Amino acid sequence: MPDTERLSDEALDALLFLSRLELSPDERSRLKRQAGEIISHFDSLSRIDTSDAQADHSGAVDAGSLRADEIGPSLPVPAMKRLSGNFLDGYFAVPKIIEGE
Amino acid sequence: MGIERAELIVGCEVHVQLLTKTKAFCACENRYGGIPNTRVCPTCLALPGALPRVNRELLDKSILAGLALNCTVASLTKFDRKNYMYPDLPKGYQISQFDMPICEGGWLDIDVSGTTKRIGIIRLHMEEDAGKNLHIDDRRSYVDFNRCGAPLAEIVSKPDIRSAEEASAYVQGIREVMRFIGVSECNMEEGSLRCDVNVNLHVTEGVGEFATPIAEIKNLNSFRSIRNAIAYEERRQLEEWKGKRVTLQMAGKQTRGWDDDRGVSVLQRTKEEASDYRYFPEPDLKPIVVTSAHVERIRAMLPELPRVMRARFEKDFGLTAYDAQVLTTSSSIAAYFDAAAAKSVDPKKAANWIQTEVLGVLNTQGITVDEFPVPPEDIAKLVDSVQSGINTISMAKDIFSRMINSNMSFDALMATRVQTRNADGSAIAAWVDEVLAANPKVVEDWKRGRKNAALWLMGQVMKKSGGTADAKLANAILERRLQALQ
Amino acid sequence: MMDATKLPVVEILSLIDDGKLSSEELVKAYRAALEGDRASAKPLNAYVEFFDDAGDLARAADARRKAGERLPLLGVPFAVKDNISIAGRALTCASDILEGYTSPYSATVIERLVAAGAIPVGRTNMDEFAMGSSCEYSRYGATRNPFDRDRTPGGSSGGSAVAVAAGMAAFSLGSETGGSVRLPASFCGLYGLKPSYGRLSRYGLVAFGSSLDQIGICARTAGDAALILSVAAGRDDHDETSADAPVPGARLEALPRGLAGLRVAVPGEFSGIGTDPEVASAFERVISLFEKAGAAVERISFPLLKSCIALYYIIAPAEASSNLARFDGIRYGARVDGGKGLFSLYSVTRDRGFGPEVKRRIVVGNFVLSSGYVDAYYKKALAVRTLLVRELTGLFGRFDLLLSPTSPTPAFRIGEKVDDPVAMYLSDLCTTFANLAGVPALSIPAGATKSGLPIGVQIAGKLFSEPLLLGTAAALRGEGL
Ligand SMILES: [Zn+2]
Repeated sequence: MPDTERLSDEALDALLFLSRLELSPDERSRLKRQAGEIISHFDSLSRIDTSDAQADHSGAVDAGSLRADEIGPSLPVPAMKRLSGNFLDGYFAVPKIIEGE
Repeated sequence: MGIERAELIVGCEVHVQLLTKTKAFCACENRYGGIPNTRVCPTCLALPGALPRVNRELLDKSILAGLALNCTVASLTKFDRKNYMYPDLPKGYQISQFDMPICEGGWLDIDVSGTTKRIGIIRLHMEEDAGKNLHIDDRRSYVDFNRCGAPLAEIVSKPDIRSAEEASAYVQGIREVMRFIGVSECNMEEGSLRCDVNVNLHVTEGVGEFATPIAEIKNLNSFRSIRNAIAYEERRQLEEWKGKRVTLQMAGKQTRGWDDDRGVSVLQRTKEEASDYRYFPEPDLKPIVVTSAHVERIRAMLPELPRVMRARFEKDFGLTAYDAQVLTTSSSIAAYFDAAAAKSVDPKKAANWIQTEVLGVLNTQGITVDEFPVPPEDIAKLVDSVQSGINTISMAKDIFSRMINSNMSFDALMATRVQTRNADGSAIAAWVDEVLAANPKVVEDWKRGRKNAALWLMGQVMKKSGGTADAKLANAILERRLQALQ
Repeated sequence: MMDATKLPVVEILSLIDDGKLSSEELVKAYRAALEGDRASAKPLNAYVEFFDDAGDLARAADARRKAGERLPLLGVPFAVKDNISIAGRALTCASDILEGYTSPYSATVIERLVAAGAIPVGRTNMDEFAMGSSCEYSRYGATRNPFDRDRTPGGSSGGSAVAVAAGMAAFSLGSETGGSVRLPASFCGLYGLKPSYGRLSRYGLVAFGSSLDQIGICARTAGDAALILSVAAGRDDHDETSADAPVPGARLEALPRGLAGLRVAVPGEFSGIGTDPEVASAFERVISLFEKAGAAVERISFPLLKSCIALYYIIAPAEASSNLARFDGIRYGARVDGGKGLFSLYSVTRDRGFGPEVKRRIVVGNFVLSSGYVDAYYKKALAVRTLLVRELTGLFGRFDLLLSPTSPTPAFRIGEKVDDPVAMYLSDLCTTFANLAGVPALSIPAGATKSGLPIGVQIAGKLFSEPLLLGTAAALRGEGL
């Protein structure tokens, strides 16, 4: 398959939506080609037999080693104001949220 | 060919906010309300470079909840990222569990119109809550991250529910158990219990059976809205089926919002991609090994559950189903009654006293039973003192209120009362004679060997004295007079 | 005064101990080197900020020393890649999207180094969000290689490598996801250490590929790297993936050295394709040094190594697409609100805030995780990664070290690969396996090309074998490397 066809326009639209990216037409077509090229390099993996490769979770930790439930410090409000110019009346202000958006 | 049968199929996803001191993945305090954005840190605000740390109580309370719902606890569990972007979700993903949840395969028994039904539970998994979006004015929304990262257990039922009433009973059952075992307050108004329902119909027409598209109705925040939304959806889907004949296979699943004011569900138009959550194992957290010893330690903390307790109260103490229900609304009230009943000769009387008097005081004073000053043993003594005729009901009520106000024990109050008792033998003898003269039939009963008759007569004497008679003296005089009549 | 700017940490400490050098003088000298360079025709552009108060901090360290305080790194100035948080300092990851952000907290590694007396003097340039192999994808422009200013220093920690190579810091911190410290170290003639996964806390390091990321060290000697590692290593309660594996024996003398008897594997997969002849001959020289000193060098075949680039460019972008979702313009950093609602705020902010390479990786990451593709790509990659870890564990049962060039070529030209992502990705050919398997790897300077470009070779060992790697590097130096 030519690399330019690895990603359909619909698929790219969906990915740009998931990525929350809005691209110029130029940037979009360049990305479509380059992403296609990159993806085509992944095909080599399909030839590797992984039927015997179940994750072993050998790095798992014991339940008893988890963080104790003890309250620690939170950030002071002035720190929030330094983070954002949109920290208004104690809240982070955002454009009006329309449910389901 | 007409519709022969349209069976309602409902599954519930209940989110329960866990009562821990700190949030799920950071050390910020986990508490409802308060000044917005004051319980946030680099981790729950998703500042660059911050990392999560699992609260051990998130795990242990989830295990306790799962055990209470008869689930199997996983020996190995892990967290996954559920990716979606929303202003109240700072990281752009929710730490949740995908394919290795902490608990699986349980059930909850519910009672609907006199019969017991078992609702299967597919899984219980751990996750974190989002912040809160406030819509104060028309131009902007405002986000408070205090709730962000609060620990949640999501409980997913099998689609075993067949009516709005069953759904409501199921969610009430979950709430009762979770409150009973102390893992959550399950306050729907404060959002510490939230419910999504999945609803569709299995329609039978001749030889054909069709499933209508599943509607997921999100964030139902009262039992009334759960019932109303399901009932509405049942009607709506039946009408839609008759008109459009669209099946689940054709249309899949849709998300609907519930408009409580208008009493209708509204289709939420979301992009298909928005529900592609791209789950993958959370690389910042290691899988967790849960040993059977750990599970057993938690199982040992599991109290007797309300349904079991109710059955015991009915069987051992002769309570009505209603009384048993009232006395198991919380684990502390149930434990209070249990302790009183164990010490009392007539647990039913103790039950009545607790329901009317104790719960009445709790209500008017707005306190919990843990804050109530009178120990359950004293309720047993008080109730028994009425039973034995030492106190009349009105005297007992007087003692009850004095126990509350003075913090004095039942025995102490009785002792002080004896000192101020009327020990005038001639006055008491006069009351005894009056009582015997007025109740010849009871005296006859006593003669025939009914010893309870003496208790009753004693009560009458005490009543006549207005509760002032020295009970021991009065009892001795009554005994002497009765013996004389023999 | 002597020129102290090119001295290793260990020598700096002894000069300061002897009263022949002060921390303040050293910071002054680094600043002078930086300012001199800024005035040149083609500035290196190593630092994005050299802290105004660095001299004050150095003076304070000198005062503490005078008062009798003794700490392992007291007064040693170091440079920090601009993706590692320092409380009260700007942090941008060389991205427009973090415009205006100041970190309210410090990374654990920074806290430990500062507690040991070291002084962070500035933030260094990098590829945006550490995505790149050339230090060109930066909002601050490209960083240049001090050995040839028309060439890249390698990336993504190019600024950190150049700051040390050009005499503007005693050592520096970079970050490693697929070779981002080793590659620039090899292009700039330095030691570049990628520690074992979990050896150093990631708390405060801006996440790129969380299962691969480690803070790395650029140093002038193996001994310096050992000292810095010993101060920074160990379990951190803020990072559940950090290991309870401190590195005792701060000084090089304590490290295992001596090449005799070492079993060294040289996989053919790294030396065949496209290797520059000068790199190949430098590499052969290292092999003969090992052999002469009594090590057993064996050429082996390890076919899975060829799959590591594909593996890496699936797993790293997948994790990155999720890790970078937090840059949404809501709570901090840049926000572009065109008044067209929430979705537009997100997508325009991110479109303007991220550069082309970051966008590519976010899109590819979302692709390999999206429904319909997740099994063929992401899950397949996880399975291959499991195989790789298993086979590599087996290999390190039979061999002490895996030896290869750090990069098939010396530093390439600025602009050469900037528009060809796949060619750029191949720069990481020899390095990504260590991140995928979590094992430590060290790039060692191994001479230069005729035109003077540094060449690096890489040794890797089993998990937590950093002492062996560093001791071996020191021994090779003793053998004349
Ligand atoms: Zn927090």
